[in-house]
Amino acid sequence: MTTRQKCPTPKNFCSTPLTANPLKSRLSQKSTAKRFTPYGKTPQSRRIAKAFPSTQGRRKVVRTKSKGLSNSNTESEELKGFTNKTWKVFKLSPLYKFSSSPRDLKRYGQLLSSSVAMANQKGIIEENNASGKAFFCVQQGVKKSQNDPDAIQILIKGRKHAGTTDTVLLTATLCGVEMEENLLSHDMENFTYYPVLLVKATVVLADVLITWLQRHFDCKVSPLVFPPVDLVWMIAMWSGALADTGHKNKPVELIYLVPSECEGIKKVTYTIQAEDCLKVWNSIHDSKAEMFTEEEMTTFISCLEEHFYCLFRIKLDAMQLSCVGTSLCYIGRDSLLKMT
Amino acid sequence: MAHYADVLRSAVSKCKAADLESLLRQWGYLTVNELNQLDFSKSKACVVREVAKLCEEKNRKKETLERVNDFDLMCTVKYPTKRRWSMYKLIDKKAGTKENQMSDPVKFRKKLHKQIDLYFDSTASVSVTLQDGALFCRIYIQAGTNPKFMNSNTIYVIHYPHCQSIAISAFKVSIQNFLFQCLSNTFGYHTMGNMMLSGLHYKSLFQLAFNKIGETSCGRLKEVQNLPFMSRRKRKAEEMEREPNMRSEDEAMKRKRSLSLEDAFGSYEQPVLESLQFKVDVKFKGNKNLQNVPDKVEQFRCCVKFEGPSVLEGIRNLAKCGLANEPLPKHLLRVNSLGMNKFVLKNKDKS
Repeated sequence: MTTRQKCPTPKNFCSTPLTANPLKSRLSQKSTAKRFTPYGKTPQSRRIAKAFPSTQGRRKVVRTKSKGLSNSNTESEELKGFTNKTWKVFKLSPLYKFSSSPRDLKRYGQLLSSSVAMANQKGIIEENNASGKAFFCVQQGVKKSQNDPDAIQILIKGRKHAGTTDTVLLTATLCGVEMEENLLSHDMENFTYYPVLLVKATVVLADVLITWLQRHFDCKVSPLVFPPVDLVWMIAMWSGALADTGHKNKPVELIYLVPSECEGIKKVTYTIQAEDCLKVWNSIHDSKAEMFTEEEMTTFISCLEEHFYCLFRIKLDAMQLSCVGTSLCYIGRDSLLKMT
Repeated sequence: MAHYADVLRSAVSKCKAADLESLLRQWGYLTVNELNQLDFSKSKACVVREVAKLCEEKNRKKETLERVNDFDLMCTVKYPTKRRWSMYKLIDKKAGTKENQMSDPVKFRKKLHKQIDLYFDSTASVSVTLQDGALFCRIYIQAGTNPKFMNSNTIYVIHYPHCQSIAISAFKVSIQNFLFQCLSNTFGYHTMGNMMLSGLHYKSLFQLAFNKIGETSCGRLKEVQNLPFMSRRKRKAEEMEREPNMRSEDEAMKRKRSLSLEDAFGSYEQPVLESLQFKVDVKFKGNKNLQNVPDKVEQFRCCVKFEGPSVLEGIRNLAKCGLANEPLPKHLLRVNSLGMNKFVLKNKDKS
């Protein structure tokens, strides 16, 4: 059944830089307001969501994740496929006439297979995967709320030129998790909205998939770039996330890119022990309060940079934050994501 | 024997395909006829296979093996930046060491081989060559009873005669003690110590090691004499373009800054380091913005790593661009003479 959703007028919508990201990590939060973003905390799981102020009719959608700690083990099993892999993240505009019924999914699989075979013939793909077959299926365990469309998993199996067995050459997931609102308006009945596409494949195959999606569903797929502000939110929210659970925490890592006028140093990596980071955060933010505010976030990052300045007299705030790593996940500015 | 092919393959893997022909000619083991037989337009792997076949046809097993090892060393000498070098200091000179042996590759090889045979299997092989005033050695130590050639068993050593430091490429921890003992005996010292200095550019590493060891009580040497390590090029003078319509507001400050940088860093190019790491464990200093000063945040452990093509030049440029404020802290300024690129910064004990 095609999910009927509403969305604002296409003109506005297609220019929306959506940062919806259904990372299935264990955090999700909701936020709605404009200047400062209140973050609600539920007792069992810390939920993080983001909504950014709407400027000029643009709206960034919430990123939600849900913590599956107390819930069923089967759920975490299914989600395991997402962890410990480096994904490339893309954002999508709504897909026209996409349905998730089994028959349609099978048809899509066949169409994509033929597209892959054609690309193969043209010599675009180097590996000789003559038997490249695509499979579309509904992925369980990802959909969380009513508004979420069914998560679709796309697999392309083929044979690398040296191998003898079929291996999975491309894994992709179209999903949206705990989406707050129905962003599609009444008029857009034939549209399905998936905020995010996660892809793990070679660049060539990913290109084939993206071109096929764009051509078949009249949508636009582009890499989801995380601006430094978002990255700072992520550290603020998750740096101490697993500190209480007794896991050995990976340190919090911030990677800054040095501007090109300064030759000689390309990047500065600032790694902080998770417990110390959490102590600083707790002193800024009252742990009982439900909301994370923007002021707290900026204070947090300025404290860390201030400490760095006292040590080295180098201004980190003049440099660009490009990658962020916490014990939950590692996010790179050029659309890379790795969850642990 | 498959052995030659393995060694040749690993030697050639780091070379550029275009240089392969000249390297083989320089090697001199294959006759002119044999060299003409080889087809250099094919891939490196094909050429290597043919060379291995030619070597086998010669039917002089031991000599061929030695010459093939020499070839591997030659390739390493030509492409030293493909390996990661760690610096070690030679400590406690033994009395009566003949320094002139260090400059003669043949004598040195004999001495080193004797030492290696004492500590390791006699199947170990040693090659030595002299280049640019430095001794390059290649030691292959067979691991256990497996006769197969393994790249990880090969160790390369660089030493400048009369210098108290040596550069060693990666080696297995299990043989460390024996290797160190072996090398210190060969060079005529009692022990060796880790200098916590590593990088890709061995000449810069030697320069940094020399700066540290050569530090006198008078202070840091800023203008260094002509040493074989690095071509000490003076940094290009900064051109201040003077266009008639452009006015620079803070010229005085810029001039003052460049003077102080020249004072701090010297007028020569800095040695090349790829990474500079600091492990810091000090009291948290970011309290300026916090309203309620946290009492609990006593120690703030973090690790900072600077990476790039030439980190020391980069630090100087950071100050020049204004990304860093002067005066730069001592632990950044004095890296040149401290001879390390991994540092630990801790609070001074109050007791």
